[in-house]
Amino acid sequence: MNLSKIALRNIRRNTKRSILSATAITVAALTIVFMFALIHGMILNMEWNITSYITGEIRLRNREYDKNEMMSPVFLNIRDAEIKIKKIEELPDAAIAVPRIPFYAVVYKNGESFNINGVGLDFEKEKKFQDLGGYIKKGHIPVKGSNGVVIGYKLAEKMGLTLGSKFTVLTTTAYRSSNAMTFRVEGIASFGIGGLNGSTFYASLPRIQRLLKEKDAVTAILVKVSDRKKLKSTVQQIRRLLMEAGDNSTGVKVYTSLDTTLSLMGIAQFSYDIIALIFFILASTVIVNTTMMVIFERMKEIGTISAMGMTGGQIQRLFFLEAFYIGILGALAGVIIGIGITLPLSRTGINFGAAMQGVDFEVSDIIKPVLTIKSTIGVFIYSVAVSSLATIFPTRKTAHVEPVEALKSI
Amino acid sequence: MYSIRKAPVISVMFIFLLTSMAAALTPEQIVRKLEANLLYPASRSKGTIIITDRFGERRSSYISYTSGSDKSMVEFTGKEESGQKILRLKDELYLYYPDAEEVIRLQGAALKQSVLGSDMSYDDMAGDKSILDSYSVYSEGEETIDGTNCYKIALKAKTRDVAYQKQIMWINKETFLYVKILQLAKSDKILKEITVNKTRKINSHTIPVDMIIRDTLKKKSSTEFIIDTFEINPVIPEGTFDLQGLCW
Repeated sequence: MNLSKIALRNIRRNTKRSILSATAITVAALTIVFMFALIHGMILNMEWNITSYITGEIRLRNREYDKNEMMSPVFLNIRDAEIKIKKIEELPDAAIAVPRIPFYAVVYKNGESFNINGVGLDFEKEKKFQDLGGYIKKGHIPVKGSNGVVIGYKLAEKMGLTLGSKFTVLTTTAYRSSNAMTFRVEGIASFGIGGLNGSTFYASLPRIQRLLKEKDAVTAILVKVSDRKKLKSTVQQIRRLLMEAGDNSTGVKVYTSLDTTLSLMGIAQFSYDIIALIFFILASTVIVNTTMMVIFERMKEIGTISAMGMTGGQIQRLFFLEAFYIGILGALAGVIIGIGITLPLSRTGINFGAAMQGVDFEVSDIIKPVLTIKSTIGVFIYSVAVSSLATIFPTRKTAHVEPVEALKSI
Repeated sequence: MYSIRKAPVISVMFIFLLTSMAAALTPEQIVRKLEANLLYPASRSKGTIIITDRFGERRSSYISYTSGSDKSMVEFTGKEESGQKILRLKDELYLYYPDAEEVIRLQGAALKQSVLGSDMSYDDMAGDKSILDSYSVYSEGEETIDGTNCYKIALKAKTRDVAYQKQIMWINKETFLYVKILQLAKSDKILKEITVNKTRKINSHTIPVDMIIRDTLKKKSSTEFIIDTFEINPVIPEGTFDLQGLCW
């Protein structure tokens, strides 16, 4: 007996009902395809932002810095930074290493005070490291050693600064004393991380070293590797370099062990897997309901085919196959429509700028969803499995129906 | 009924009481004497600041000029702060840094910032008013601090725009210079403690030449001010207290 053929014929017998059941699966599948793609895009975006703007893939920093980070301890630094950077870049898998000095500062302007974050960096190298040129909205990247700065566009607006404007920052030096310096706005940027736009300016490393009395020191060296599989081995090589240089105060860490936001995103991803399961279970209730109705409506038919010799197990398999085929149709349609919606958005991106206002999260305003095997084939298998398994319970009843009892219901 | 024999004793006691009442100073008079001791027409001093915090000790040096109670200018001469200046004109504070193209005027909450990361805030430097204008003063008797007999004077702020709502001063009965000061918040929490370790007599004034300030809100923190030279009524270079002169 060809149960598959009978199941397919039964699906066609009541097209509207079959479409209704499949639609529930379609809606759930397309939503999950989009959601998974969006979350994946968000994680990739956050990972790039964190490794480019904040930590690098490998970060070198004074071991004591973390404990005192809140006070911007620029005196806990890495000496002979230039030599160390050169040696790191000679390692086979270290693609680029950049110096950084992040610091807190205050600007007193027109009777108002602005607490801002400054970063001393190498403009030339940062073009490659964080694609700095791509973020400049107005003006240009300043020349090394000049007093020119690149400033976040929201901070520039807040402080009433335009290209060519000057502002004086007051900060704490490496001697835990104070110093001030005047800078000129040469570039206005829209950084990848929304939070940076309202708080941060970039200045040339030699000027910041002078401002903070750092001499040849920096407070962090960020490294990107050519292949992320080589992260651990590169960390070992950098540690060896530091030991050879007699530097015991600098710690070397991989970005995954540093930023808690990224680990939070891991938890978020797991939560979305659970939400997806709940979504499918809810969608499957439509199938369960339809299957139960079909069973009651077709009780006569069940009695007849049972009297003709079809076993309880075969009847149960028949109803299971009907749900399975509806699941396949619904999931396939859902995944295809989901891909159809996600693909153009993965090029243009979705602007969450307004929603992310005031949220200090290392995620860009514009997120591009990214389709993966998990968000397409994975969702298809997941949808079919959940919707099919959901019918097992109601179809169990058909296995125990007595033909005489079933025929009585006529 | 008094006995005839007791009369001379009572008379002596009465005369002694009258004499001591005439000699006793009111808290206002003590504070005025303290201020008179610390007020010079002009002064120039050179000194060293030793700042200790949980990360270690560092030193800086300075040269300071004052004119009356309303003008002062401190120029830091240490290697790391060389050329930095703080100018006070009455209630206003201005900072000059050689790498900055403008003078920074500090006001409001900015005055709470510490000077050179020390235990002293800009607030401590600001203000030209007499203590009696800003505080009501009360006597809390007399106490001995490290063998020095002192008046214990409590100060309570009359307004909210002072750095410390309460202060307790132990003022040397002989020199009328404070020996110790506790500066407190309204809740009686001690914010700062000032101790004078060494003084020097110059003309009729007693100058604190070694003084320690402790910001009790900071861990393991103290700032020692040591005055190496102190001149009263010196010749002060012209423009020292001019805002434009800061950049010279």
